[in-house]
Amino acid sequence: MERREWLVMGGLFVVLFAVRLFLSAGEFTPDAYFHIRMVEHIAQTGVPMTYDPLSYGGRVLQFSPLFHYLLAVFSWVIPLDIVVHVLPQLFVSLLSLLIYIIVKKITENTSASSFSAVLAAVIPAFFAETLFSVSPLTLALPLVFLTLYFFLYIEKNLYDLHFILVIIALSLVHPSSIVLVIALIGYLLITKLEKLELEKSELELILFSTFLFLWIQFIIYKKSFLTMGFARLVQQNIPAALAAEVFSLSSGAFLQIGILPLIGGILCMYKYLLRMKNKALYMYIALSIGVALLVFFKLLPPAHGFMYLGISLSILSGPAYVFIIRYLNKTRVSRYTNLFVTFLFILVIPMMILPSIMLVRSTPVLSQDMDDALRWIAVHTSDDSVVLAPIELGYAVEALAQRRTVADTNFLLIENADVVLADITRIYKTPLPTEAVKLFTTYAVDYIVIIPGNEPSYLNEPCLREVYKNNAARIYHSACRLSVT
Amino acid sequence: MKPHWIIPIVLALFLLPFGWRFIDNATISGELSYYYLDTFPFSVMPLSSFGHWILASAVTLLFVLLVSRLVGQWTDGSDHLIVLLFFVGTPATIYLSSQPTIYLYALVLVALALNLVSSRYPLLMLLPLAGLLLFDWITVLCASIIITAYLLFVEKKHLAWAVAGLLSTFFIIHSIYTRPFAFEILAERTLLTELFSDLGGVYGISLFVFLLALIGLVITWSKKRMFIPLYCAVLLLLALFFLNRAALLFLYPLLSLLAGYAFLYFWQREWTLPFVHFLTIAVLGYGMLFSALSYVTVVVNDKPTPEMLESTAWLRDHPFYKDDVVLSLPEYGYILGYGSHPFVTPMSADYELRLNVSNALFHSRDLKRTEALMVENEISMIWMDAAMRTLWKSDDGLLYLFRASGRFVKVYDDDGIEMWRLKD
Repeated sequence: MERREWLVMGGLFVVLFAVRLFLSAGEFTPDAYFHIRMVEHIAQTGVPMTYDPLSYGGRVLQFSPLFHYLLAVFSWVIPLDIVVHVLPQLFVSLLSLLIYIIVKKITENTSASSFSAVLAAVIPAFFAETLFSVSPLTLALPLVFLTLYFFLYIEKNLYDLHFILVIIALSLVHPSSIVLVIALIGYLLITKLEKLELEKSELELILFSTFLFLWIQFIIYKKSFLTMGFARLVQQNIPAALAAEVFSLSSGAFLQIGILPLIGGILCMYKYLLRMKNKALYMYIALSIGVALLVFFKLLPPAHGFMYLGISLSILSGPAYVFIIRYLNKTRVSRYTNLFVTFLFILVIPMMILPSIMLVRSTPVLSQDMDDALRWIAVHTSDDSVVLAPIELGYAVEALAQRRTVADTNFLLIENADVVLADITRIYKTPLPTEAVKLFTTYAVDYIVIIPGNEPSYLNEPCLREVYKNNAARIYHSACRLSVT
Repeated sequence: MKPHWIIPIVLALFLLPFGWRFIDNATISGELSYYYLDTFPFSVMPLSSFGHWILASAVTLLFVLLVSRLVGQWTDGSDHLIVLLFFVGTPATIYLSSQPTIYLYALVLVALALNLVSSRYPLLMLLPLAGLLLFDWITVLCASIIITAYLLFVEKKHLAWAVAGLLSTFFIIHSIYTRPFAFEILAERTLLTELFSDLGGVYGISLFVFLLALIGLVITWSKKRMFIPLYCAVLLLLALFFLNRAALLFLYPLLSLLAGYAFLYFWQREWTLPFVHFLTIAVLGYGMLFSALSYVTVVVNDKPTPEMLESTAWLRDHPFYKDDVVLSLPEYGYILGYGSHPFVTPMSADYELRLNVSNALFHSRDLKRTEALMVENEISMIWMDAAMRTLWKSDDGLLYLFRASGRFVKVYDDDGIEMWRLKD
């Protein structure tokens, strides 16, 4: 690559990284606290937490631990606070760089590569979902595309070894990386259908990756497979009432993926599936189609699927960009090509950046007040207290208040998740104090966290006492118990 | 390594893990075992649980040897052993060796018939075929598919009349003595769960075996003319699996042998990346081993416990309660019904209705309604263990009525198992 290109790429990376750090400003979504706890645990003990004494009052945990190990190792030399703030943003920012390199390899066009890299950086679903999170997905996403990049060069020396190492790492980072196996199998299928020659080593690596990935997932999630079955595991055992929300496709799906990558991706698929042949692109076409099908059949949450889909479509937008420009150059409006390119880049603002900002603004982050309230619990309540909070705050309660919760949003291996969720909803909604007291007894609730707009009607019952209050939360101590005589 | 090494491997796989179970829990594992023990000729055999297990292991060993003889016609030496290892290590073989099932005998008869086809006296295959007349529709259909496919494969089409004879004789017998489509009906679970042992399927195939079998099908595609009978058999058995999961027991030998051949293909093929070759073989080997061990663990730790059987024996021998109809969880139906009278078993024709009644009874706090439902359905006893108590959140449903109504009396309480009876 030329020096100018390195400068462009470096500039893009630095700007993106800086913007992400600035916007995230040390805030986290409540879900991020689960991963922070796991990183802390690994940093202290050297092993992943397999039994969480706080979640659901004590439950078995299953998760892919490599991301947490990586952060834990860094936290031995850099303060944990910095590690969890900076590293996920670094991984995500590196992705744009990678997209640039991939598209450059496919199209050999600097402008198209920049266009794809910019699109990938501001995919609304991806930008908003990863901005405040400390999620293994921030590592899984770049690794998936890095693996596909290595696959492009598989005939070169050492690239096969790199591919294997990254595949092993991916298997241990996040189960959604299965989209990579789907992309590789889809690639195999499309190549066969298009009667293109497949290298022997490609087939060998695809077979190996498939077996290895499945095997590792079986080892990690064996207990869930056995106790809950495949269907419930894939849907993460999320109760039906919540699953409808988590897996449903909203009308804003197109906006979340991004209109520009969607149009570019579809154009590219049309061109390279029906008109021309390009083996390198088939991986990304297979990835896009595979992820779309997984989301459609509710096997992958749209929030995760849209990230993979958006980035994959951004890559496909590169070749689409090239053939649109080539086409324009052949027409009578060729002198306006530069104007068109400028217009295309300007379009990124209303079609990609604005939806991203809208999504970022609607992303629930833990406010400082809520942080204070939960830390108050840690200091002023006994260690064995049980705290009831809305489930979306569950992880934050476990991490900051360090108290047992009734539930959080990890339903894997929870046998009666439906009942627990219904009971929590009932506690907050019921007009009957007796029903609430019965449920307080069932779950041995000592403290209840009330957020504005979710106040139960029985708060003036004598057995409930307000012990803390700020703008974000009110905390009540519950002495309510139903005694059996 | 020579193929006769398979015998000590089989013995180790069949006997060691379950011997371990018998140290703590001298019961046959699996709810379905008790249905077979109660219903089929096993029940008249004066055998202990240990005896039934040894019998199942011995008959499965015979089945393995018969399959080994068939496989030996096309492979030899270490290839033969590897293909057999895939067959033996499949969870379904472990299931057959550890839990009494009538289908094991059907499989032995089919394997015997196939062996006799290639013998000097092929007509002797009529003897095992006659034995198949004692089974159900699914057995006869699956056996017919496998035997026909084999006859086409070894180009002995002239013996196909024997299969036609089997089907027509069975049909005539069926019109006089009705036979069910399948002997067993288990509680409904998704087909995907049933297909894969790794997902909890009792007869299921390991995911790795399934994937390798698919690859085996692809590999043999170059000789598709020769293998068409095999492909047809797999497809037809898979279709029958949608009607009844017992078909899986007839499908699994074909799939595991195909998987074995696919594994051999990977082993012997020349790879451009030798270390990927090594890693792939290692992953496949570990994957198979892992599936087998995880299935063994499930069977070793499966229900019932000795306490459960003691309580059913107590009930069976009780002078006043021995005829009581017992309400419990449907998955305990066969175990509790072993020698007594359960209320809900998946075998019941009105299973869905009874399931609804059970659920209504479990969660009702209305004494009048509960009493009416119990009388209407002639339920007089409620059996529960610690696991069943998790049905209720604290003092709810039946638990509340047990404590507060004064209409129920506890007649049995031992090792966490309780039996409650409605007072007369």
